[in-house]
Amino acid sequence: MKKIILLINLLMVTFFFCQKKFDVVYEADYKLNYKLSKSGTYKKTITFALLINQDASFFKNMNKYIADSLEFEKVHLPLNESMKYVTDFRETIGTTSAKLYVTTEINYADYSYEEPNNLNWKIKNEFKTVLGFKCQKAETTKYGRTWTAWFAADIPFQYGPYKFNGLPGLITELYDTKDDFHYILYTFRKRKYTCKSANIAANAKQTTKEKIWQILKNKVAGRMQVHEQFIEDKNDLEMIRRNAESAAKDYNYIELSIY
Amino acid sequence: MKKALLVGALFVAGVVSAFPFRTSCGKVLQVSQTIANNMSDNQLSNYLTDLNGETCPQHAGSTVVTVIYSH
Repeated sequence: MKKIILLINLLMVTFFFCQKKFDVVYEADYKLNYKLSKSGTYKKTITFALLINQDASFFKNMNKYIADSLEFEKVHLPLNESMKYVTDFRETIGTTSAKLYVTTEINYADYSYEEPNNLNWKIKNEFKTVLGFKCQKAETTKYGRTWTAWFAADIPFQYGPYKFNGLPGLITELYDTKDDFHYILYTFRKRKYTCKSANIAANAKQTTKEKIWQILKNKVAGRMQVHEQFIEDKNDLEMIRRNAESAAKDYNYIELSIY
Repeated sequence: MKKALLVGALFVAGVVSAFPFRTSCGKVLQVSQTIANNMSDNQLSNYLTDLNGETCPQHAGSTVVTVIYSH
């Protein structure tokens, strides 16, 4: 009987993340300060929304949040306007206690995959205040980086930015040891609405994370196939290929290892 | 004569089916309008931003882009 209930629950959650909409009860917004390239020192700051309800969270870039919402509502902006909402972070991440449901765009095609939610945190006896909330320190190693998180036990949601969660309170700050990626909470508030465009790529091709890594390895080749459809001039294509290869080598991925 | 007309027609069609995309470092690329028409606004915005970054590496990830054509 327990197995049947578990299976039904699993099916419901999977179905839930295949849907476009998400019932939002609370929203936590984060700033991310990140380094785009391995060799450079230039950092950018962008924002993300973490949509929360009793069963799950949904994390997406704020620009993507707006762009998806406009697409869902069939609002067509002039191209130079809609380009303001482009982001380097094109994935959406659904989190439940058991699994992460990721939808991502690679070379303008949407893919979705699941991965187990199995972070192993070490909670430290250190405290500080973030956005007025008393927070405690925790550390974990994941995706080839060592991460420090600060969580607020006073906010009883075990969620956080990107794929990080599972602490006894909302993660308010998260950064890796190199500080290449630094998330910090800047607002947390109660909401009561349905985000109809949470996962706009509901028809994304289902695959595995291993296959996604394979596609990312061949990203430049895939990108050049797209460019060849768009651009005829051979000299332009060659210049783009050289720059794309150079950029791909220097790209500072948030995940350095698959798990 | 017929051949010349046909080549001329194809040339005109080729020109018409591309739009000029001025990148943030000033280079103008001719981009296929036919392919662009088959993309969503989000896909095309992402594509042109990436194209800008790959044409002007110094502006990679930048949103400072001038677009001549409106989809």
